[in-house]
Parts: sequence; structure tokens; C-alpha cells
Amino acid sequence: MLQLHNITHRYGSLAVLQGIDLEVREGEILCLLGPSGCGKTTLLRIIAGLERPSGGDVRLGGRSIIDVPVHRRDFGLMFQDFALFPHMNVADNVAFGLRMRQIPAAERQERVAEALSLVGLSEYARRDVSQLSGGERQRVALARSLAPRPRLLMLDEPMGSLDAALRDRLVVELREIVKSIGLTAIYVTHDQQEAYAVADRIGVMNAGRIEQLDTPQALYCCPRTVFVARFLGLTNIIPVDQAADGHVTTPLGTFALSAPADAVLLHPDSLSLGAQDGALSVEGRVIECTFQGAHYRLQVRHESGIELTLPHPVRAGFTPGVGQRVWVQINPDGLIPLRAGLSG
Amino acid sequence: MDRNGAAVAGRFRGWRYGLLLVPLLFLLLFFFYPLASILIVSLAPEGRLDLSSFAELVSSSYYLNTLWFTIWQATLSTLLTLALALPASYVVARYQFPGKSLLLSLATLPFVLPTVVVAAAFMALVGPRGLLNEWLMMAFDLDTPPIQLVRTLPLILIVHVFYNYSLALRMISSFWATQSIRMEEAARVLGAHGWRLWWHIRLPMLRPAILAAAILVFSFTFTSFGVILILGGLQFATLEVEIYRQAISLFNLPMAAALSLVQIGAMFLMLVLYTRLQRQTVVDLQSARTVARPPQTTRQRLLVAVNLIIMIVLLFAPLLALVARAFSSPDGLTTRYFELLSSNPRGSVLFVPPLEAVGNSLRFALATTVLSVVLGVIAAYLLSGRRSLLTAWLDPLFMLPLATSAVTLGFGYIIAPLFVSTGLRVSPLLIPIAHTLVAMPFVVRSVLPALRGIPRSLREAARVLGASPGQVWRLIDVPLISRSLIVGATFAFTVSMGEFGASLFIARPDTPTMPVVIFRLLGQPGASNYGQALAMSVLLMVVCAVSFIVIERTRTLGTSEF
Repeated sequence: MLQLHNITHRYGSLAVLQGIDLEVREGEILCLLGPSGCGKTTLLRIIAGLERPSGGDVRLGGRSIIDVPVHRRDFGLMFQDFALFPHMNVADNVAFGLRMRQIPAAERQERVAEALSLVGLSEYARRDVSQLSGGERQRVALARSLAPRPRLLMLDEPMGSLDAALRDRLVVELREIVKSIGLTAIYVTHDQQEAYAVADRIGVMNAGRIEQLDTPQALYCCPRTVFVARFLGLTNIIPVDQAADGHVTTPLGTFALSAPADAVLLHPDSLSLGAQDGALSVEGRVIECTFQGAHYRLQVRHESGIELTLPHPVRAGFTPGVGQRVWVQINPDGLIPLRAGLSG
Repeated sequence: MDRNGAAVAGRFRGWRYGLLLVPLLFLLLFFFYPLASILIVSLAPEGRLDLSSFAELVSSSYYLNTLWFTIWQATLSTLLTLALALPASYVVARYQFPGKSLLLSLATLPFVLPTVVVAAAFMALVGPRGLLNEWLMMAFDLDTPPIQLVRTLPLILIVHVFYNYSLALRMISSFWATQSIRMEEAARVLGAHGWRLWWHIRLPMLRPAILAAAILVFSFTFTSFGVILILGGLQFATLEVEIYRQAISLFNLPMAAALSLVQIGAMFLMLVLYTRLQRQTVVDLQSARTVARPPQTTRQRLLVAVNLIIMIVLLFAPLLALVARAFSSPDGLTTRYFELLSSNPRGSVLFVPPLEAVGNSLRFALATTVLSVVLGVIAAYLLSGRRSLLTAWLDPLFMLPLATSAVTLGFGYIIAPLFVSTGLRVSPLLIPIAHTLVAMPFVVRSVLPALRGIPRSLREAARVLGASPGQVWRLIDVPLISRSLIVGATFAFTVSMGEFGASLFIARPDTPTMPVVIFRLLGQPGASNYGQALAMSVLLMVVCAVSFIVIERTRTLGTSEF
């Protein structure tokens, strides 16, 4: 539905976006995930029309919209600070987009009521926005973006100013609301938990590029670059010394790998303590054992100095002590080849 | 591709720069051009370079004395003002007492009162026909008024303190309220008290506020015009008064222009000092603020009481005396002076009935308000955009007229060749134009912080929701700055109503303004002229007081830079 073709953007000499190609599919929630400064918000502003890219094209249904000014794009954008108009009450805020589209008063009222009931704020129509809590403001902002029935909804860190407990609940609610009306949405965040919960597909951004675009499950199971693996919080990234005909040599030993790799991820979920078992087990000394409720978090140091982190079930029947020598077994599915960055 | 959209965006940008030209051209034509005319007249009166006026200025003891008097009366006024305002600031910052906020807001009243009104009020209080002298003469059966303050330096100083006391009080006490009390508590624990606390902790802590207040008070009193002209008599002259005398009485234009240049230089220096100081002033908002409490001990109560009495007497005695005298005659209460205002008896100093000046002033003030709001809002709108080199230069540029004395400006208007040849010099339009230059900075200073305070995301949200740039301005910006706009407009109106220095130069005899009429009437002998001057002053004071109430009611904390 929405296509980005080779979007580049620079502020002075600083390249913020370096050739973004992206297709947003009808009805999906696409999440742009990345650290601050990676260019995700700039990309969103370019799609919204608030910023004009230095190069590239934005197309909607095959037609370029690069020259369509913001107010004619018919998109919805929810800001991190919600940007509620302080001089209007809740209903007037929600009605603003409808008024700009010159929708008659009767229909306008109907659609404001509809949008407010969708976010569960029907009772709040006459309230002043200054009287609302953070969560309520967020839902008013959502209702305001939804009321004009935009072709595309964009959300810029919509949970950014809310506390963690509220966030977990609202992310799920938000997904339900957007899905229930079949809207296409782009969701920008730096929090991978939020992205997993809300997205159909996630694009991980780094330094002005999209490093990987995948479903949340595929992304978690098989990150493709060192950056993506690190950003998702996956540890046990082992440098590769040598690679030759389907094998890589690392300080931990030689592993069979189907794809070329600059590093290997030993997915924490696929590691366990056990007996020595050929090439897929590594010996080390426990240097830390932290109780985390559902499991222990073990830190094991290999003689090469490389440290592995793995969960150890509390109900396993034994608890390794610090200093103890152990064998770490690697499930072959958990050997993930990583590239250093995007090639070309 | 939608080329039309790009053209619209491009046109909007072009339109923005086109808009910038309007206030800039106004400034160029009605501020820089008259000042340049002064420069030319002073440096090259006959068309070629001639520095004889300057040579006379620096060699004649008369002009050096004038300069010296200007400086030391300003210094003395500043010191006196600070000496009274500092303990009062302490009382305001530290102690809570009934009616405090009302008193504090009333204390800003002098700021909007025209100089002529204040001069008239002090005449009514301590002048030869004043209230105090009348009482004393009655009580002790005297033949001559015992208080002889008019045409003396003490009266000038008292009036200067009246004007600036509340300004200094407000600046210092509001700064004080934002300072952490922890520093002082730490010093106390370490053994400091009494004068040591003042010398080592409080004064250094308040230094930025005290210096800023001192610079402002010094600037205001350095350019004092109406007060000196009306209350000082012939033996006292600041530069400002001397410029007026040289230009109007002696028609020595080169000398007036040379003095104006000295004046402009001094004011520019003050402006630079002030803005540098403002940049250094960092307000600590993190730590514990100073909290006001009710006075506990007898000593504290006494301190509060003494300061309150000074404040109240200083502020209200002259204003009450003005009203009392305007309604009293030897035969008791009367409205005769007000009635006389509408007549134009033969032999009057004025060409028209004094009451016509009320209409003139109102018309000029309305025109000034419209003009300065339009120009000021345009300027503020452009300055509120992304900070760039351009806005960094333009911001102080729009403030410059505030640092230039009105007398200099008025003088520039009457000698600017273009104004003379086009007939603008004799047009009544010139008055609102001059007033707009003085009033516009107030509008900019009121509106700019409000515009800057609107988060960018609000405008962007409106645009994404379908609002065109014009609709964003109308539906988001304007409602959000409306309060500041009212404050700025009211300031503009009040400034115009009370403006004296420039008006005295450019007001035509058949269209005098209220301050000019008051000045002319005060300069004439006779109880009737005196009474009419006071009556007119009361009318002007009422207009300014109403404006003042509007400003105080409308302004919200922190949205205005005053």
C-alpha cells in the first residue's frame, strides 16, 4: 500500500537516512524499532509529510505523494507527547480532523462519539484535557487520530511518556483497537517488548538503515546481524576467526554453519547444562549464578575468556556453585550465523 | 507528481520572507532613518563634515555639567531605589501577610503611569498649592508654604524612586523566590548571621537580579525627561531635557543632534550590559525554593510593617493627593476643573478646548494599538521560528527602539528631510507611528514567549489532521497566544496614552495629546490652569489604571517577559 523507494535524508552533513526501501502492506501493523538517533522518527515524519526527504520517493497505491502537503495526505499521526490542543476539550480535540474535512456537524458528533467509545472514553467528551491522566491523554490522542478514518495511522513512541505497568496493558489494547477497524499502521518504538506485542512485522533500524524486516518470531529466533541480535538483548555473540566450506572456527571450537557469518549467535534458549557431547558442547567455569525467579541466570567463562549466559531451570534438581566446572550443551537449531552489518 | 503542492509550499516560504519585510521596513523608515538624519545634522550640518558641535560639547563646561548631572542624578536615584527595594524584597520573599498579592500587583501601577501624571501628582502632594502645604499652612497659620520641594533635587529623586521602586522590588523579590534556601541554611549552620549573612550569602546570590534592576533603573533615570522638565525647573537638565531645549527653544539643531548621539551611545551600552546579564542569569528550579511564611517575632513584624508603610505611602500618597486636589477648590469640593476642560477661554495656552486632547489621545492610542499589534505579531511570529543567525540578529533589533529615548526619536522626526518634504512631519499620523515604535517591543515581548511556548507537535498534529498553514495559525496559534496578545495590546495602548517626550516634539498645536496638555497647563500660572492640569491628570490616570487592571487580570504567570 505504502512504498518507500531509496529514501535518503541529511541534516547538513549528517546523513540521517541512507537509502530506505520499505513496503507497508494493507492492514498490517509495521513496527520501526531502533535506538534513539537511528532515524526512525525522521522516517515517520517524512511519510507524514512533515519533512521532505533529501532523496527518494514516497508512494501511496503506486502514486508519488512526495509533493502532497501534510494536510492533504489524509494520514493520522500520534505524537509522543500526544500534542492535545490545550484550549479545546476532549470532544473538540477529537473533532478537529473532522472539522478540517468539513464534515457536517451531525455526522461529526456521531463519529466523535464513536471514536471515544472505541477508546473507552465516552464519559469524558466534555472534560478539559488538563484534567486527564497520562493514559487517558494517550487514548484521546488515539481517538483524535482515528476519528477522520485516516488511510494510514502512524504512532511515534506512543507509550514513551507512560509508566511501565500502564504500558503493557495499553499496548495490547492499542493493537486490538487498530485491528478491530482494520487500519494500516506504522508504530515507532525503541522498546523490543512493545514491538513484539504490537507488530505484525518489525523493521529494526540502525544508523539510517533497516537492518532486518521480519515477523517478531522470526526476528527473535533468527536475527541476521550482530546489531539486531544485540539490540534485541541476545547475548552469546561469538566472533568468527575463520570460515571455510560450511564450517566456522571460533574460540569455542568449530561449528558447522550453512550460511556465511562474521559472528555466531548461541541463542540463549538453546543452551543447557549437560554432559560432554562432541563438538556441540563447551566446557567452562561458572562465574556467576543469579536467581531470577523462573530460572537461574548462569554466567559461564570458557578458557578463551569468552563468557556465555544461559538460563538454568530452578527445578532442574541441582544448582551449580560459583567456580564449578560445567559443560554447556548447544542445540544445533540455536546456532545462528550473523553478519557484521548490511552488505552493500 | 503534484507540482502544484510544491509551488504552494514554495509560495508559503516566499510569503514568510515577504512578511518579514513589513516590520523591517517600518523600523528602517521610522527608526533608523530619523536617527541617521540626526547623525548627519550633527556631523555635517552644512553638508560637509563639521565636528564643531562636538568640540563645543566636550570643551564647554555647560554641556559637561549637563552630562555630569545626568549621570550622578541617575546614580543617586538608582542607589536610593535599591536601598529601599532591597529590604522590601526581603520582606516580600520571606514573609506572608494578608493582602500581599493585591499590594504587589498594585505596586506595579507606577510602571504604566505617564510621567506627566506622576509629576502632577507630586505637585498636588508637595507643591506650593499641594495638599501637605495647605494643611501645614492651615494648622500653623503660615503665610507661605513651608515645604519648598519643587525645583529641588530631592523631589526629582523622590519621584524617580516612586517610579522605579516597584520595578526593582519585583525583579529582586521574584528572583529571590526562585533561589534555594538551602545555601542560606548551610551558612547559618556554619555560624553566619546578621550582616555576614547579607554580605557573604544574600547579596552575592542576588547579584544578577540586583545588577539587572540597577541597569534598568539607571537607564530609566538617565533618560528622565518629563519629571525633570516639569518638577526640576530651569536649573536642572538631563541630556534628554537639554536636547529638547537646544532643539525647540534655542533651535541649535547640530548641538541637539550631538547630544542625541551621546544619549544613543549611553543607552546602547546599557542595552548590551543588560542583555549580557540576562544571558548569565540562570534560575535554579531544582532545589528547595524560598518559601514565604507569616512573620513570627516582634522584630519580624516590625520589619514587615515598616516596609509596608513605606511602600503604601510612597505609592498612594501622591495619587490620592492628585485626586483630592483635582476635586477641591478654596470653597470645598468641586467638579469645576473638569467642566473647564471642555471650554477654551481666550488667552489660554492651547488652541483647542483641553477636552479635545482626550479624543486625540484615544484616537492615537487606538491607532497605535492596531499598528503595533499587527507589526509586533508579525515580528514575534518570525522570531518564534527556528533559531537562526537571522533571528539572533533580528530579536535585539526589534528591541532597539526601547533603548532609544523618545525625545531623540521625536527630534529625528522633525528634522528628517523626507518627512518634511512629504508633509508627514505635519501629519497627525506621525504620532501613532512614533508611539508604535515605543509600543511594538512590548507587544513582541508579550507575544514571543507565548508563541515559543507552543510545542511544535501541536502545530504538526493540526497539520496532519488536515489543517492548512492558515488554519493552524487561526485555530491553534491565535487562541493560544490570545492572553499575551491582550496584554501586549493593552501595554501598547497605555504606552501611547502616556507618551510624552516624542509627542511634545511632533504633536501639532491643534491636535495635542493629554500629556502635552497637562504639561502646558502646569507651566501656566493661576489656580484654574493648575486645577485643570490635575483634572486632566486624573482622567489620564483612570485610563491607565483601567489598562493596568486589564493587564494584571489577563496575564498568566510566566507567559510574559515583564
